[in-house]
Amino acid sequence: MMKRLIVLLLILLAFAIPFFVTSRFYLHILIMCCIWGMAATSMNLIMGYTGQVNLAHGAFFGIGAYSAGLLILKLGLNFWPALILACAITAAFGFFIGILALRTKGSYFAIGTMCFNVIVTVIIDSWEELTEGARGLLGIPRPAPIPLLFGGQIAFTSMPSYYYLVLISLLLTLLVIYRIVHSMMGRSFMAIRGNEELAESIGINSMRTKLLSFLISTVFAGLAGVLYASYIGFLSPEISDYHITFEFLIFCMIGGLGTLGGPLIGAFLLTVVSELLHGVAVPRLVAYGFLLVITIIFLRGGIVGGAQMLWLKVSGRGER
Amino acid sequence: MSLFIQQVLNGIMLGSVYSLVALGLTLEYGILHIPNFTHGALYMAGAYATFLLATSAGLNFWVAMVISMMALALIGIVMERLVYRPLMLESPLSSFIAAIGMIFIFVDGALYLFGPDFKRFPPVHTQVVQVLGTTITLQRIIIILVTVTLIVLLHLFIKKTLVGATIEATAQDMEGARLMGINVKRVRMMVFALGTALAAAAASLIAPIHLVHPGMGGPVILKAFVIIILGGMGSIPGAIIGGFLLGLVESLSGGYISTAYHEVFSFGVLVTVLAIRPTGLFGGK
Amino acid sequence: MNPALLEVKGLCKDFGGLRAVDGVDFQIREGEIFSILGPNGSGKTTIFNLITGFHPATGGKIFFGGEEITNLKPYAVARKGIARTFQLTVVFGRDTVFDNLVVGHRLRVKAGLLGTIFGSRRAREEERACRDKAEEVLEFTGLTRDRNKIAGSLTQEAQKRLSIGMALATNPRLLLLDEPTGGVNFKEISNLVALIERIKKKGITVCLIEHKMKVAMELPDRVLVLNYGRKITEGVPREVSQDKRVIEAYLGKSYAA
Repeated sequence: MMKRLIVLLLILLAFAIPFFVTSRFYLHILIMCCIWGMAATSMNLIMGYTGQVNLAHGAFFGIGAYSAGLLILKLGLNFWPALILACAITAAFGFFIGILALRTKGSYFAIGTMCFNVIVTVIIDSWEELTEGARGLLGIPRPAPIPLLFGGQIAFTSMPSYYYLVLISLLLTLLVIYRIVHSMMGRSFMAIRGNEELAESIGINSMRTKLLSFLISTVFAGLAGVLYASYIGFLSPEISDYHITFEFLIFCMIGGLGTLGGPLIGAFLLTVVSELLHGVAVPRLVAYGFLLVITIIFLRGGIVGGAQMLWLKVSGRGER
Repeated sequence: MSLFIQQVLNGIMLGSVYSLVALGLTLEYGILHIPNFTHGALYMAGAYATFLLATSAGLNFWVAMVISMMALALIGIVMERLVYRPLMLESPLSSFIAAIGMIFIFVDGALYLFGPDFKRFPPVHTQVVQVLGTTITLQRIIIILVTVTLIVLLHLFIKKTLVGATIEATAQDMEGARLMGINVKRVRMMVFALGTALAAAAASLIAPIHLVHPGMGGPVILKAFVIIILGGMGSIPGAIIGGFLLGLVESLSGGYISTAYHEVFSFGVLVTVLAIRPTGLFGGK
Repeated sequence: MNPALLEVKGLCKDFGGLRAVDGVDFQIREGEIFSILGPNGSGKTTIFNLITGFHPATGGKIFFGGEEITNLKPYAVARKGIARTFQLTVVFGRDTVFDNLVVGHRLRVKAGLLGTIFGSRRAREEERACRDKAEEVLEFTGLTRDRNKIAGSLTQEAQKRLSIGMALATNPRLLLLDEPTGGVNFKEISNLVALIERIKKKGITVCLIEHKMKVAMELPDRVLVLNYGRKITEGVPREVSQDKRVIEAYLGKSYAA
């Protein structure tokens, strides 16, 4: 009960933010937090809840972004149908890559997905006639305005309006994943994480289940990519790179893999910190690296996991 | 025809370097039971170390390489002790994540310290030699000779010495080895020292040809993974054969297929093999 | 005589050069307790693995309820109604006892994506069915008091009961128990035996792999004895225990004479 109230409060707060934060800089940070948060949360589904170390997530983010960008710029599609199509395209890639990669397990799966990630980046970089390659895709417009019933429209050119767009998308992502995780389907995912053989012996089709988890996570990665494309307006092959995948990984780990709020907290924290420290001499990724190593050795459940353990200790339930 | 021979020799040279890297990786896998993702970053560090010693300290190339190997061996030992040992009993995911963190530290540290530009090595052996009707620089032949020597030495070390036997035993069954009185901790340290030293050697040898830059570890480590997956994780012959094979494939396909896509080609092969045999060509587990 | 629920014909399994199971035939009749005995390495667990699809068979056929199930994948075999436990007891160690049992019933519900996301009535009913089943199994296996404990923290014997419970939650017609009394003390053995008898009373057919002679001979209605992957004999315990070939397999030729 308490938890629900806190969550409701946070959501209300999130909606109220543009009313008292007007600086473009801070709104930009918040928008990026939402986009990275979506990507990290979706990665959490296949990695945290289903236990498969998927290192191709950045590729799907990139595929979503480029699909939308290309559909809008080269085929002249309106943003909204392009969004849906781009997610469908990402899902299609997710299906084919998933079917192949999920035949392997553990370290092999990690390496296989990483290879797919590299392949995707190389193709985006090299297939210049389609993607403009390293020159990048320029001039992706903001979403087309949505006409309202009684005249007027919702436009997305201002920062606050885009913030609301990504916020709603983020909340949607969280809702869907929350629903899945707390359902029988979610229990199947976690069973595979726990012990794949045992899960099979109680009738869970592990290939089908893993594929479903993989697919769902790629769709939301693609969605995050689309929102990124339309916001920044410019794409280059680096956004599908394995560095992006590793950043998502770090968000999840630091926040807490396998918890609903963890990846979001990780994404928020690290995005805010990195944007605020933009001018500082300390190389950001080196700091990330240290943080990651220290977190994994000393605070395995990430921030949320650590908080949970602390809560158990404090409330006495951890005692025998 | 002369192009073909040149590509083959080039392939053998590339292959020998890849084998060396894959060997280090497969040795580490035998002990860690997960692939050491940081291996590529250490490879890069070895190249930079040799570069610094050869340029700023003005040391002879071979001396610089040996010192670099020793320095990297030390780093490898420290890494094993501080990071991998505490995570030994956790799920493999944890070691894997830690490796990624360390990659960030090394690669972006190098980026910060040395900048992103490609550093040119002072030329070492540039005399040109005629082999089988084509010209090839002496450097490339030396690379092949040195790596093959190292591989042979390693093979003798593992198969013919007592220490080598303890390494094999620990790789096969850590608990059993411990019960037999083998100091498993010492073996782990030694294997890491060996593995990273080999990486440093490989990087130093190829550096004069391929230049030194912070991202040089990335493609190489991915290829090393392709090799040990195809050859079987933990298999020494697999790493050697796989390394030479990949070098030849890359060189020949790069010559006859567009170079931009030859990476895709290698990874495509890997992905296909995994799809058919999910545990690699020779893989046991 | 009850009809055969499980029929195994000419089952063979090779591991590389080793023939672990060599042309084994037997039948398990509906409603009975059947036991597979034999010295170590005689192929007992391998037969379980073949029936449940964990290894592909090199030869032979397996029929369940008249339908051929040879080489079906493990999850498909479970859906047909065969559930099993493992010699080295496995449970989902990080989850609670209750959660372990709830997921055991998952195979009987559809759990579709849209229903899950939109919280359809069907999804909610399915979830309730799984939870009800879990409650039922909790009581049946005597684990009600432990329902919120983390499975990994239970005693060995309680974990065995839990793994049997998970198998029961799948609503099986045939339950394969691989050494259910392994590593368990005297008092606990009688608890487990009582549980198995209760399972039989519910109408579920049981097949055990057992080592402890007392359990292996007193509990089942019929037994199969294996040696070196081959069937020695099949029949009621009393006859089998006096069969010369069985004595020879266990104790050697000198005792058989």
